[in-house]
Amino acid sequence: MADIDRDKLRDIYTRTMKVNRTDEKFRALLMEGKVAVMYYCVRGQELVSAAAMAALEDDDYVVCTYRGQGEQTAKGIPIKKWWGECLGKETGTCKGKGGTMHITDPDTGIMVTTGVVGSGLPIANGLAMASQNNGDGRVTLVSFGDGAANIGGFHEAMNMAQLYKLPVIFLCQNNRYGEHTAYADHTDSPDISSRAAGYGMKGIKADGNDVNDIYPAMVEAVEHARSGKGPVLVEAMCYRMMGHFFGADFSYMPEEHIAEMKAEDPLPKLRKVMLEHQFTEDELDSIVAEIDAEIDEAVQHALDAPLPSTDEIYKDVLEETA
Amino acid sequence: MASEIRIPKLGMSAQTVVLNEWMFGDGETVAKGDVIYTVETDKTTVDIEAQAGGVIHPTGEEGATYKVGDIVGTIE
Repeated sequence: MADIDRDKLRDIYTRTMKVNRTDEKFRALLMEGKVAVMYYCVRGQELVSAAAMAALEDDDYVVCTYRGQGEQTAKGIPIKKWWGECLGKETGTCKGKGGTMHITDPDTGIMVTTGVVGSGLPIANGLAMASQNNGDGRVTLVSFGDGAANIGGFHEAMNMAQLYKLPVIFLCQNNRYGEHTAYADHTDSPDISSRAAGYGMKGIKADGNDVNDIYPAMVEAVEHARSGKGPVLVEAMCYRMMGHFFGADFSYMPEEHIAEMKAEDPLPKLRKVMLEHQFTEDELDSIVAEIDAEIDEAVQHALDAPLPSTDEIYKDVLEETA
Repeated sequence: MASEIRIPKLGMSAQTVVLNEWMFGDGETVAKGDVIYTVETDKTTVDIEAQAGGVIHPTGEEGATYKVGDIVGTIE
């Protein structure tokens, strides 16, 4: 496998740290009680989102879940609009009416964020079918977790996508827990990616903690889907290093599991790869400092922004009649 | 500048929590990341970490119930 070039590595590192620093900032704001909303932490899954978004074109479509911060920020939603939406302010992507669970920003291809486990897959098929009919060359990527792979909609969407050779990438972020239930307690098959064979579909399993494995896998999947050969199921093995949502207890994770996920933490591993490619510590630190400054400014902008006015309640929600 | 310590939102349905225990007394110095107090929701006990370092002034009472967003102390 050819090495990832330096420009692309810098791009992936920047996206990864953007996801990570956003996550850290969000948890800090929640912890000090400055912000009181639902937030699903993405610590441990930053690289999967970053590598996936780096493999897409800017105008490709993405459907994600409530644990979608990674896809949303790594795809490039303007950060002030993102924070505005999360804090329910009129400066948000949905004028503050969607919140963290329903971030939508068609300008950057974030088409839907769903709060219902597994519901994104059939929606992604619809977007991919539109692209196929319109011949616009876009692919659609839908992200979901291992728990969602047991929902009926998963199987229906997989079958339909393969039947019509839809340009869609099913990205299963297997973080080993479906909400609070360990993988082995909800699934008996050894992995999710092998299920692709049951639909005649291409399946790829990749290490979501290793940039040299996950990024080429995503590129391969995107090329396959864009070329008209049909959908791909990618299973990215990763860890959710926190509870299901901010504030959730995760003492049910066995000690061995916690030790394993700490050893596989994608951030130090990615930093090591960057240093091996002659990036300096200073260069990497300055990328992070720039991201932090941008986030701090965006958070303040969102905190200062007004809530949507009551006149806005029914706008963009119900059809207006004369 | 003093930063307020507010009761965090710890889940979809958590509106109130019980402040269990302060780990530091009035006037003691805390570092960012220290567990400064614990709260109990209807589901679990959660450690709350300081998001700033400084001198802590707890005002919330141990054993009392607080709403999300209530101020229970400051760090300056």
